[in-house]
Amino acid sequence: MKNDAKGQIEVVAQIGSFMLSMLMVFIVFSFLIVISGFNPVAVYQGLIVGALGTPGALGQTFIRMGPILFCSLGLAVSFRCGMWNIGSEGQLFLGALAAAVVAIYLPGVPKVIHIILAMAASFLVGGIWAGLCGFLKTRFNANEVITTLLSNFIAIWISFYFLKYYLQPKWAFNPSSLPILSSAELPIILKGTLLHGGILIAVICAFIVWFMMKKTSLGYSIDTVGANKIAAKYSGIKVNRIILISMFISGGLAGLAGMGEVLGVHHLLIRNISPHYGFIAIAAVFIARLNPIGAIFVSFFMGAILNGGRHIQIIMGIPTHLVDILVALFVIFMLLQPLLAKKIITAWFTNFRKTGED
Amino acid sequence: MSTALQAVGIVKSYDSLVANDRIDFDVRKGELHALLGENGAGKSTLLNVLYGVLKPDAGTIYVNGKKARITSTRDAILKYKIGKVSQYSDLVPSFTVGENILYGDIPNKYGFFIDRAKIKQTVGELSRATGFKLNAETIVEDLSVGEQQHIELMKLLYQDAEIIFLDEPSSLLAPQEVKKLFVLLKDLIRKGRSVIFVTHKLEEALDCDRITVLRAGRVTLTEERKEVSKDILLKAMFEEKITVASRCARQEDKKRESILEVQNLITGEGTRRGNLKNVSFTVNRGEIFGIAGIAGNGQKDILDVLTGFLQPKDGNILLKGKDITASLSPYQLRINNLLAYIPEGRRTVGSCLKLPISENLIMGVGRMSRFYPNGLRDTREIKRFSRDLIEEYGVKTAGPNAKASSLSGGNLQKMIVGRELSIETDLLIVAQPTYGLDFKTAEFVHKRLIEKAEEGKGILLISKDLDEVMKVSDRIAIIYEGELRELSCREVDLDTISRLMVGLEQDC
Repeated sequence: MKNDAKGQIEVVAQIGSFMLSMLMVFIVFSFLIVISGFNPVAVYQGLIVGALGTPGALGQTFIRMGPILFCSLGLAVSFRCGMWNIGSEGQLFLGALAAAVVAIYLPGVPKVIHIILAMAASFLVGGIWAGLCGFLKTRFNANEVITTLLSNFIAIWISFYFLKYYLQPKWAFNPSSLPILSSAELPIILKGTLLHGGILIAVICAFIVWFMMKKTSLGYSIDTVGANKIAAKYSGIKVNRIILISMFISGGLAGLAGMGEVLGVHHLLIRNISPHYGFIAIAAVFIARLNPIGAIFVSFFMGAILNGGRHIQIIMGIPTHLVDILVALFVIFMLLQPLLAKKIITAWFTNFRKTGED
Repeated sequence: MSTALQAVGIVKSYDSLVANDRIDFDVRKGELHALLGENGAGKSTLLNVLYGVLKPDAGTIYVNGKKARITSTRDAILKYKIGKVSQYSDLVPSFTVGENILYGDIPNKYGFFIDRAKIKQTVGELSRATGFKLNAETIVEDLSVGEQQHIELMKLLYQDAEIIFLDEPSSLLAPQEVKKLFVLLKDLIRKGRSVIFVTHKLEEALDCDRITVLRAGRVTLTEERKEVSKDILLKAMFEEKITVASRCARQEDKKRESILEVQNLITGEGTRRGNLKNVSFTVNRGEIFGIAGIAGNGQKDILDVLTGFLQPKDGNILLKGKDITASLSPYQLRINNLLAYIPEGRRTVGSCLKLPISENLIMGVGRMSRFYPNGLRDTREIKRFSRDLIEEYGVKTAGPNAKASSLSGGNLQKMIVGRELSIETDLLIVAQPTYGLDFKTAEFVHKRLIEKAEEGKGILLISKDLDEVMKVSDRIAIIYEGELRELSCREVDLDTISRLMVGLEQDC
């Protein structure tokens, strides 16, 4: 009975603190819009219309959600293993490169198989790249935050090198490859929009990752290593092996994000394949509290903000930085939310006790 | 001589453990006062109360006869001129001697640049005043541990401390350095300062002017040096401990099959006190083999080797007659269910606080196939198993899904004990199983251990708590400075054990 009441208060506090966080984002951002000389009502309207207003806009939101979700899922796996992988962006670039190579230079393969092969290639390359940082950790105890962060730059330039010297045709004026073969293109899933099948693969992956973490011994080992490496080692878990596996999966999923961009969006490899999806995903996965299913919703929200932001930028001439600020505010206040919830619960109970004493 | 510092009726408890139980303690001006006791006797707690780190539950402190309210270390230093040299150095290794002594009070030029000339001058003055040679420019990490300790003392003198605490200052020092330290301390008290010297070593206490002995949170003796002897101190340190008859006698003549044999184990370079110097022992089926000793005498190395974390320099480990020294790893031991282990650090080593209790209870890869048949989670089996274990061991919790971090220390320990005892293995290694537990829970854990032994398992128990070792062990050994001395049954008496624990050879 008492526990029930406590549980109810917790739910109320969680919802209340969420609304409060959103309200705070709203207030602060409105203030910034006003001092920038725009009309807040029009800006919010523009945001919503730009993100969800038409089938085309909604499709774009989903398109942006895809890579964020892939990267978030990868990060959830490595973060839960206690490996702070900051290298999703680079892993995405190499995944894109691998997918492009398979998609351009492997003719005569049936459609579905061609896509699967490209996926496998991007997963493998992204995974090995991240696994390398895992190896540096297990073998030399090199801090993974540093190695994965720096590996971004290396990966992005490796991808550019291959693009410029091998994939780009001789006559090209821009650094971009030949188009991929049509057998490797991801199909459009929403008529009248550009929304491709990548988002479906991402959502399926979210459920696979959820299943792996929740229901398999591998997921259990990953969580245990992430919670306490020493205890995990004493219990007989091969800690180094689990770290390598989690980094491989993490990089592989980020690689799939690159695959989606090549096979679904651009249909060729370009130099700047990702507008920092790999970094946005870090914020997204923390807001989702490392939960794969939660990541689906947060990624959608992030995609919507990015897409709506682009819209108001084009239509209303709002500076790009203001949109960046909106993303940042959202991250800050969402990360504050658990703290708020705690405060509410404590305040509630102290109040309750006081009235009880009176 | 007047009293410099006096504490009356100090009480401090954690959960159910009373660390300081109505302690009366005083230091006179110009006195070198030893605070003697085993690990866990309450010395550090008392020190922390007097130094403003801990807030006592009850009791009053007087400084120079006036009631004092010491609420922070800042108070202790600035208001009451109390300084402390902690067990491990508080110096910044990469700073110079001068910078360390003047730490927090560094003179500057133009409000921005460090005034090195001024530092040198101040240190020079301090050096003349104390008659102790100091070079302000030396980098601290280039000094020996003993010299570093002298610098810490100088720092306190610079801060004008009148009452100086030294917390186990000799634990890191070589014998000659301890001698030098005493010369310096004697000089300090001659100049009217008071020194409280915390130690668990008899010899050092006997070098002081007055001695207070703590045992299990209580003062058992306060006496002038000339009034006491080693025997009196030993009695004060360990007396009343042996409340339960040892299980030793009734086991004597039974012949048993050995499970674990450790032969001539050597670890490290043999330079540290905690390195093992040729340790051998056997753990047999159906018995508890207890190793007692003051912490830091090699217990950690024994545990690390046997759990596969430390490769020994020399020696063999035989499990059920098979030499496994070369292949010893936590994975090998656990996957084959060769070992169950209750570690000392229940939060650092024994559990994953961020995970639910159920996930903590199923730890141990040897059981993975039971809870994850074909790699897939058997949720129902895990739930049933954790419910049963929580009930059997009386873990107070909302349920198996509650996080382990929500458990109190005692309940966390019950969880770990329950988990390890539920592993089907012949050998059980147990370190400090009841540290910080209340009496009832400790009793419960002891009962379980004895039951397991009677089922035919072999148990190795390593504990700082002599009472515990005496109570549950069938055979007892004492470890001191990396050497193990097994006792025959008729030797198991307080006098022999307490002497061996502090490194005194027997008279007979």
